[in-house]
Amino acid sequence: MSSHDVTITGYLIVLAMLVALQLIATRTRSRIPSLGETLSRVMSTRTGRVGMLVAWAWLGLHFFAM
Amino acid sequence: MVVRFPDRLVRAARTSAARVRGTIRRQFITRNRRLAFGLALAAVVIGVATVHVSVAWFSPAVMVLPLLAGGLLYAAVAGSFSRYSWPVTVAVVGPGTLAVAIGWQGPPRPRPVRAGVAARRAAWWAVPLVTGGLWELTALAGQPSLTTDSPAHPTISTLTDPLLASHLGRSLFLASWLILGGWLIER
Repeated sequence: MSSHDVTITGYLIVLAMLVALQLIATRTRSRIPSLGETLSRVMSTRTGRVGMLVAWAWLGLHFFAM
Repeated sequence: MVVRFPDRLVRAARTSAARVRGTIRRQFITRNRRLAFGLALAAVVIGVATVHVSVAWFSPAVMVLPLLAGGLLYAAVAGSFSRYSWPVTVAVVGPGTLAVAIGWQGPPRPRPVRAGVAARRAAWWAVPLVTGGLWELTALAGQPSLTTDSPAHPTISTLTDPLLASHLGRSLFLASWLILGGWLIER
């Protein structure tokens, strides 16, 4: 297994963890909140709200802007 | 000949104005740049209208269609620009700034947070997010330099480069980015 494959596998594991957490949160009676509920909680303060939106804007800037 | 002070001031102001005018004219020299500016302006107008006018003038159901059409048009046009160019920068900075400005004012409507979503339980999400961030940093550290990609240790940006090389890929990415932004504003 090359370094390239190991790196990709790492990303896939993280993605699988995110999907699994969301499924556990929404499909079961788990006490884990869904991603939407977690974000609502984070964005309930102005700092969290602006921080999340700045992070989102940065994503667009990172991939496209000069 | 002695030039009086007010005349000199007027002349300097005229020269500065001509210079600014020339600079602005040069920025809009191509059709793509004019289109990008118009697009950013449209995004700002639609965003402001959505927040302040839509509820009073139209029902949310009616507002969905023009917003959807506007978003698709935005993604199609902005995706036609090459990455890291002036037009696409404007097309991304416009909605980004607008979203942060809207976010600063608070949620568009009161949205009760589900009782019991304690920070401790929400921290579950920090595990994959922090792991992903550290993994990305590890890949970044494996590059020859910060600006040189490494096929052996690809970052997420490196992996998305082939997707963002095409018009369709860029449009899909920008549409998803816009939807994510709209979803976050609604939180």
